[in-house]
Amino acid sequence: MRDRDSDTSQPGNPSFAPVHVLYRGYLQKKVQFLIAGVLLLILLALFSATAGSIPIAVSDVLISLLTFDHSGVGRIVWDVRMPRILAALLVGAGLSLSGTMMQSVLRNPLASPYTLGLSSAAAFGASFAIVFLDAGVGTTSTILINDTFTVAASAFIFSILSTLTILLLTLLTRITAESMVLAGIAIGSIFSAGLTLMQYLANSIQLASIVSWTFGDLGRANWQFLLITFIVLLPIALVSFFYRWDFNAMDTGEETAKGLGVRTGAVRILGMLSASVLSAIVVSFFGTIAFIGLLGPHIARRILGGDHRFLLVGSPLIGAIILLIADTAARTILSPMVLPVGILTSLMGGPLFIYLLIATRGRRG
Amino acid sequence: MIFIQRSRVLRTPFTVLLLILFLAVVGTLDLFASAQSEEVTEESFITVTDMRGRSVRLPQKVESLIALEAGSLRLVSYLDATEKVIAVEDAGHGREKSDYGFFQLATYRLAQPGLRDLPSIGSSENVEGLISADPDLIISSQRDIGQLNHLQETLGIPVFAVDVDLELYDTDLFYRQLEILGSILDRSERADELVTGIKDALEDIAMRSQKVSEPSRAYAGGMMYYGPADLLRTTGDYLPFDLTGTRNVMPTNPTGNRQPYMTSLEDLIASAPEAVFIDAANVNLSRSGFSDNRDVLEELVPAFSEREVYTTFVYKYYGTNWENQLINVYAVGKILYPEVFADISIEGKAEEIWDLFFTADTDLDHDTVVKTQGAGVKRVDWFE
Amino acid sequence: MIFTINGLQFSYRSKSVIHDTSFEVREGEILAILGRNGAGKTTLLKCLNRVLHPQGGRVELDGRDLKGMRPVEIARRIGWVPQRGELSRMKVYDVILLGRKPHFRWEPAVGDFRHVEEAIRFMGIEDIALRYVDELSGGEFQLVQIVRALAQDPRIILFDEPTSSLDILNQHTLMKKLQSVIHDSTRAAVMVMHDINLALRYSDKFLFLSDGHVSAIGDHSIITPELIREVYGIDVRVIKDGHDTLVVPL
Repeated sequence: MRDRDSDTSQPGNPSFAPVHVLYRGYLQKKVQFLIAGVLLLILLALFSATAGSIPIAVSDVLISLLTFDHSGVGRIVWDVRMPRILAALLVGAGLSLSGTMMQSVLRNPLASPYTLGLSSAAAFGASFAIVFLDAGVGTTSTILINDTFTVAASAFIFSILSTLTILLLTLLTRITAESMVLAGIAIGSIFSAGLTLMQYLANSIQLASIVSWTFGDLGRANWQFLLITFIVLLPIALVSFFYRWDFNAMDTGEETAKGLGVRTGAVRILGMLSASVLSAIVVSFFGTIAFIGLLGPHIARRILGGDHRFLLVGSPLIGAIILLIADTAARTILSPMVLPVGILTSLMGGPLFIYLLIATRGRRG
Repeated sequence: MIFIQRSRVLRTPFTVLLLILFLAVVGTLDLFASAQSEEVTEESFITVTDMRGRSVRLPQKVESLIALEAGSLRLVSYLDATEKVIAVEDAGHGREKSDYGFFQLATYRLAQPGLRDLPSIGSSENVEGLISADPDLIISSQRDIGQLNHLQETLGIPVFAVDVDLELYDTDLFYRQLEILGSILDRSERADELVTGIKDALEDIAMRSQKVSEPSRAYAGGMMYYGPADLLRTTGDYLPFDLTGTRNVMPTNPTGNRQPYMTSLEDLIASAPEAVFIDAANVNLSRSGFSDNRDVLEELVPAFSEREVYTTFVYKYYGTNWENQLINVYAVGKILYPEVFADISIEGKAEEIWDLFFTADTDLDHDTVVKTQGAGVKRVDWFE
Repeated sequence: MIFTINGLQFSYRSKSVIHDTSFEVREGEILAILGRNGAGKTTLLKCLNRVLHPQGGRVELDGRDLKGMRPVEIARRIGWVPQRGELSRMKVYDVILLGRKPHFRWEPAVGDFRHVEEAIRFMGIEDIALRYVDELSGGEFQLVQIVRALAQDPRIILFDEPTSSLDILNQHTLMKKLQSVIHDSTRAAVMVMHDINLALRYSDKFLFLSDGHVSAIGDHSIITPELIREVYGIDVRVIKDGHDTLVVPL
């Protein structure tokens, strides 16, 4: 083809340099946006580290952060505020990344841990642990979520179980992405029914524990939770970024992607599995925090477009920013009362998401 | 819900048998009673205003009753009228007695062990069960007037509403509730005895708290509110602090409903209490919250560095254990201001107050209650 | 270069769609696949680059069986322009860059960008190169898909009705450009076509497919009213005027 370029180029059209330059500029803008996002996140984290009922000067916060000093003021910064801030970052990024992957893999803009029944399964798992794994323990003290790890493990097992069921269905019947979402809804409603049954079998105290578990709360953060979440998030983020071009190709259509040498089946299963493990870990540790898995990807898509080279970085970034703002608000606006952040994200996220849907529809209409 | 509960009731042949037997007996009594009462129909009914402001027409002599929802059965037990109770709820009572240890966290169940043996009637949704049990009166702590009226119309049985959200802050209402219930249940003398006893105790406390020269700054954790609570669930309206003149380091609920709320680790640190009191029902959950942040708490919060952390008697379980809360007032006083409360012992005071609320006949023993509730007033053993 | 298809068989849920199909395409050739709706043309095309996996037969490129190649190896050699694609929220440039995906490992290099820009310039779509794909018209999107396949720089390009969304001017402009890319090069093209006259004008070889088997294959000389009648069930007049052949329905 190159040999013929010279005589087929159309007169009057500029040579390829401008397109190249324009494209470079376009990429640069995205990179600049991501850098701005990272800076904003750092500033917000810093602000969040200074916000609280104990007044600490910004300079002191900075010093203790940079010196990793855990004494004096550093105690508050490192042992009280940082676990929550890091939890907001990891959870926001994790849910948002997993939402992005699910939406790409299922080619459904509304795919999220909820659409696939994963959250219902996790809530069922948690309630199962609360009702049954504590049954027969005749302690007179009403401790229920005393064993957070048992509850989290049970939630995790059930959410992975629900995803595996969907994957197995996909493998056995080669169902389409659309059917996968429908299967998710079906499995989600089965687990919802199971959750309701658990609530009827529960006594008054267990019932309250189940309800409070389902409210997402970053106050549950401790260093173990954070470490495990990070250990899961990091490789999944890297692997998903490794497949960014495959995701792009799949966005242009299943057959196009196959024609470009993408093993779509394998990428789909890998994407679903890692997105599920990631959100299962997050939901199991911190409960259901609504809308981050939809808001992060959708805002990122509006700003950055559908290019996964940027989306897979931008979406977790935006998710982390949103959750950090929400959690900082949740713990300071009614201080000393703390709201579960899940309530706040639903409250802010619902209307925002409806706005995004309307705006997107207007544009594509 | 109805299905599950009804099946639970009917599943046990024994329960069914009991119910049939019971219905037969009640039926006969009913015939007998209606034959007898024909001449005096007019006088045998009275109209009273319940705690939700509803007018309820009910028999002058209430011989049988069923108490529904949290806390209502407790009020009946205070008035020593449990022999009129013919059946208990499933959710808050019947189901839990067999399965779970914390049934006993409601002290009235210890005082009135006979309640355990009563048949279970399901919930207010088990309309048919309630109708066939045919009590003279239903007492409910349901807040919704519409639902109360609906229940009364459906059943054809008078439904009297009580207010179990009252605390001993609203003493006038609290006394009035006891007096009205006393008059309905033919226990007016008992109501007077209770009211006088509570008044005396509160006056005694008020006198003592005036002598407190240096009020302590304290924090209340593990505050139950429709479910278990950890260290960070606190309240700004903690009766034992307020009545002893202790300064609660936490403000009242920002929404103004005076209920417990979740605070943050940072707010607990910032408030720097000198003493921490934890509801014994939530001591294990609170302990794990403490262990997670032990270093920070011990370094920055005087109450933890000085190990001034105590458990108190279970304050809420299926409603408020008002008697335990009154004991807690003395306990907090005794711990924080030993010189002012020098002449009392927590054990003695507890037994005295249980005798007041449940009559001297029940004779609850301090050590037994502490053992069965896994609770009591003591310094926590978290620091070993 | 020679692309050989031998005894190809494909069935979908035990229903045979393509049976025992053999043909070959040489370099510099454009082969048009013609036939009625539902004759299996698109299915046949998809079997050629293993988007669908045929149950029998061999597809060989220069004597190498595609079955033994990894998908990405096939994609380096065979480009593919499907009839439809998803309108993603990506720039036209990004979508065309995807054509280079089989050739790079981590990120596209300078050479990849050069291929993309040459292809854009060749097709004259510089004006839409930085627009979002989901804002394009059907015809523009079809061109973008073709440009992507050109940027892929494969030996063989498979087209599924490349002109279906184009107006008559664009149809002929495109076909001329494709001809210029294939003829006298080491490349070849296989196109599923509906417009028989467009196919006759720009293709070198014709494969008529009826119910999954080859009715006829050859150059212009095989076009007769009898064949058209056999394949399409319509009576036509075949006008041959020097180099051009024209089929006119009666």
